[in-house]
Amino acid sequence: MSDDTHVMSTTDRLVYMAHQIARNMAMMGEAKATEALAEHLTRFWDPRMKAQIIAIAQDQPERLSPVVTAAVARMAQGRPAPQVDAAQFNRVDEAGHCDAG
Amino acid sequence: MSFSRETDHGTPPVLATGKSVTLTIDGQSVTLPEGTSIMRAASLLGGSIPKLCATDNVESFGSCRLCLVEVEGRNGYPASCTTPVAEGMVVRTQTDRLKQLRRGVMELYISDHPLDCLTCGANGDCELQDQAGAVGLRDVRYGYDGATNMGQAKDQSNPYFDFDPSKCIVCSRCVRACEEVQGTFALTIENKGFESKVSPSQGEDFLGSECVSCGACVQACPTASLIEKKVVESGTPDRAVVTTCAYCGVGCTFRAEMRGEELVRMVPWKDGKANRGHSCVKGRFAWGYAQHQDRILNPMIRASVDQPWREVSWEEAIAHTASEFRRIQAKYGTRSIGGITSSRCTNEETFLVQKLIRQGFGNNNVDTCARVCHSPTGYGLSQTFGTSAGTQDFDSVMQADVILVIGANPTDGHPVFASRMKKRLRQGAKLIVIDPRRTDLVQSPHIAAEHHLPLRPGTNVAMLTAIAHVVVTEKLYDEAFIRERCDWDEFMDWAEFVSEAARSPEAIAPLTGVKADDVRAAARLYATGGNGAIYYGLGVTEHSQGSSTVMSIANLAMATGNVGREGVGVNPLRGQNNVQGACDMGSFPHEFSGYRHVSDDATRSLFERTWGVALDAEPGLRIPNMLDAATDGTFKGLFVQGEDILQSDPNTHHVAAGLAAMECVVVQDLFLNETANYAHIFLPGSTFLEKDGTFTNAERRIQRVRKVMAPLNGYADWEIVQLVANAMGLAWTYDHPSQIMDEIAALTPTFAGVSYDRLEAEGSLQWPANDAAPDGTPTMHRDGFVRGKGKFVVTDYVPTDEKTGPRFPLLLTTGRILSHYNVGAQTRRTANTAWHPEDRLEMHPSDADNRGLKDGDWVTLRSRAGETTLRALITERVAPGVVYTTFHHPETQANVITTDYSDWATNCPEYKVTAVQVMASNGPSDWQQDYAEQARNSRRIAPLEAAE
Repeated sequence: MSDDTHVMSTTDRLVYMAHQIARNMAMMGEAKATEALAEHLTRFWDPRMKAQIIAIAQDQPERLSPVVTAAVARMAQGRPAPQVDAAQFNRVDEAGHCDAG
Repeated sequence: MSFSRETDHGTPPVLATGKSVTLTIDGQSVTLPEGTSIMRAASLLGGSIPKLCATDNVESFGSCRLCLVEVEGRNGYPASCTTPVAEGMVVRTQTDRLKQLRRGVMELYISDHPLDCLTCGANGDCELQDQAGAVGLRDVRYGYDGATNMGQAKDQSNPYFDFDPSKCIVCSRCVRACEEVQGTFALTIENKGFESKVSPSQGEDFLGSECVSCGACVQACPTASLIEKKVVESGTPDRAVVTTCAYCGVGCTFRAEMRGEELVRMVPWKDGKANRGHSCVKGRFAWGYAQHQDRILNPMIRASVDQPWREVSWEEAIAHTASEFRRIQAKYGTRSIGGITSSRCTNEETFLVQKLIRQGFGNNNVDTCARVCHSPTGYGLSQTFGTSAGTQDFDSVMQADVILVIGANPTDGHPVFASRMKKRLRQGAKLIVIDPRRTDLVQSPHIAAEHHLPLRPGTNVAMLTAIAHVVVTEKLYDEAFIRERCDWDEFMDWAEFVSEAARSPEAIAPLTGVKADDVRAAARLYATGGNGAIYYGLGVTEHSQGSSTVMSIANLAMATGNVGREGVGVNPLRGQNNVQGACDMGSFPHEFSGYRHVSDDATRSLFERTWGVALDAEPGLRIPNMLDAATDGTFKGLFVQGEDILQSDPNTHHVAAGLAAMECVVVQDLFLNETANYAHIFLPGSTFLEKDGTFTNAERRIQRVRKVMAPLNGYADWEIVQLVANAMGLAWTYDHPSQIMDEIAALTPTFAGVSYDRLEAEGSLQWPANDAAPDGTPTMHRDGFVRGKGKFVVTDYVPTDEKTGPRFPLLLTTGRILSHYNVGAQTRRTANTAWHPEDRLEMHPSDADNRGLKDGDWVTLRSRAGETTLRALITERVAPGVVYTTFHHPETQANVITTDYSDWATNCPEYKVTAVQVMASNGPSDWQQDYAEQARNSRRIAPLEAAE
């Protein structure tokens, strides 16, 4: 972040976050760090964030370090399904008629 | 519960030595622990020896001589409060001679005490009055005019209680309570004989003294000399209900003493296991916000945030909420909405909000305020120990030999626990403080830290690694513990890492600014001083390496064998009353209640079967990512219960932009808070006094919250969430929060043994409470870590990207103060503003001199994120190069200054490190003036149309 800018775009932030996580895992060595970063992104990032970082890896690979690139690729192998609309989702098991109370 | 005073046994229980003695009191035989006083023994037998200077919150004093007894075979009439029981002792507490002596003593007291009982505020609730009756006082031979003490001026400076010296009997209970219970030593007895008088500090009034208004003196006073103003105004209470405080994570329990529907006072409950009968100024006195005129009691809606609010019926507000959320999801997708649970609400309410989101919204976009405070604790302790919680109960501190406090200011943030800690320190435990500021713990009456390591903000990991370096290289680690309880290979990897010369105290001194010798001495003390207990707060978590710091702490505790028994452990001091509970209840976007990941098929299936709906296996958005997604146009609706993210979350501009980009923001709160400036629907909330439920405090203690009055807004918060859920097509049928707890217990293994019946029977339970631990778990990881073997994690120091430089040469760190709570929504609406009417910027004299600033000057505080103005407080409490402020007042909006940098693992904001510049100012900034205008406009409520 330079002295003249104080608001990151979402894509800038995701790139920053991925590299920040990678820096904190660097002591593991590249192979383990790649694995750990992929797992971290899988377990903690929402599908749209995952989709955005995958898109960056594809469209602007120069923005990602080798470790982040490898981790994103590994994470992408388990890429989540796109979201469905609410009505469709709730028909899955008829939430509107459950008596979970 | 009808009204009756709690039983006062006169002297505290003794520490168990395992030895007991048998004696006879008034013909009854009794066996008690050695060291018990005769007074307490008689009380436990159901008797009552007259007393005035004795109370079981403080040690015996032997001053009033009213509690005299006869002991066979002994001369004279010993005071029962100071005389311990002995084997074979025969005691008589009621004889003619004793009655005569006691009446004589009482005559002397009454001769110098006003006899205005019928008009006295304590009439009917006065121990002096009771004891005069108990000793059969019928006349006073010395007259009633007293020598000196009648007609003295009252000290009414404290906003919550009065001090009337005329009614003081100089029993010293208040002085002793201030010393022994609170540990402030603000009171003394000045002068001698009839001139004796209780005095705050050196003849100052209460408000101007160092008194912290904890109320311990008022609670201890046996007359009306120290009395709550509210009791004077409203009369004595006629019923009492035990409930749990809604302020900090200590979780003090109180007797809410009522007169009808009116709350007269909150008195700390002696049987409360978290607070042991003590309180602070917030819980004891600052509850007036519950009836404040600013409370919103009717639902309101508006089409856009530039319009005035329109009051509507509950039916319309709920239907509109459901309709808007469904409209947005139909247009933008299932994951386009989400919600935020409240750590100020009950477990049952937070559970329902996350259930509404997962079951009703069909996604995992739920987060909670722990995101901005202790989310790194969850991550760090889960990685190392296997669960997201502190390891000890509060009582454990009384067995600690070395107390290491890092990044916490418990005397301000967790004052009731701090009093326990200070008591232990006065008994001889050693103290290490790691903090950029010289907090009150570092040096206060009868307490001095052995080592204060005033590190540069942002260097916690470097500091803790250097301490570990000393532990490992000087072979101070506990090899037997590590071999038995931890993964030895991981320990060896970690030990090799911390042993490198680059991580020695000498090597990191230029980073931290702390002398290597001090670090080495502190490390040796922690590792070798006996039971070592670590307590930490937001000064650990709110950094770009918050999670690494938590893991560094866990590494250190494991390496020295300081886990798994009383007196040791890793203890996060939680901020809000139910932040532990909110996390336990599944408020994070990646996990269900009990910290189980949403991708875990078995767990998800359990919830799906119970809730009758397919659940999303993908994690949802965290709060900052919700705001990013909002500005990107993919997140359009937010349900916020009891949080004020505009004031509390970092980079206010970013939060405002995110909220402004949404199509439907629903705020459920007591007041039109700052976030509500961007809301389209407002659902009025209820206070903790108006509902049933449970809170879970920082020691994992689940305690009941009990309704003491009807909700002014018409519904408890859990009922409102149920209305929204049902309007969205769910079919919830909860009649009482106990049913919600039953569902939590059925779905959450660590809560499996929790129910309202158990809580009524036990008073409280510390989770895990289940078949493996039916009575709960005061100390975690006793026989092994939850994850199996304790895991050492290598935590390399990675400097923050927030850098100082010529434009921003100072480091700002933020925090809180005793009299206020977080964003101040509650405490600013009480008389607590007497102590802290505005946020001030603490600044070292040298930094102030360099800028030509004086104490009290208006200054501009500017960072890369924004600027604000506030007044300067020049103090050596902060080091040169560091400035500090609080975030309690929306007029200041300290979070306009803080940045988007956050913890690498959890996105917990880096509140504690912001590069800033400070310069002279003439007053509020343009932004502050614009914001004040916007807030005024946003809070307009359209007048109701006249009925025809």
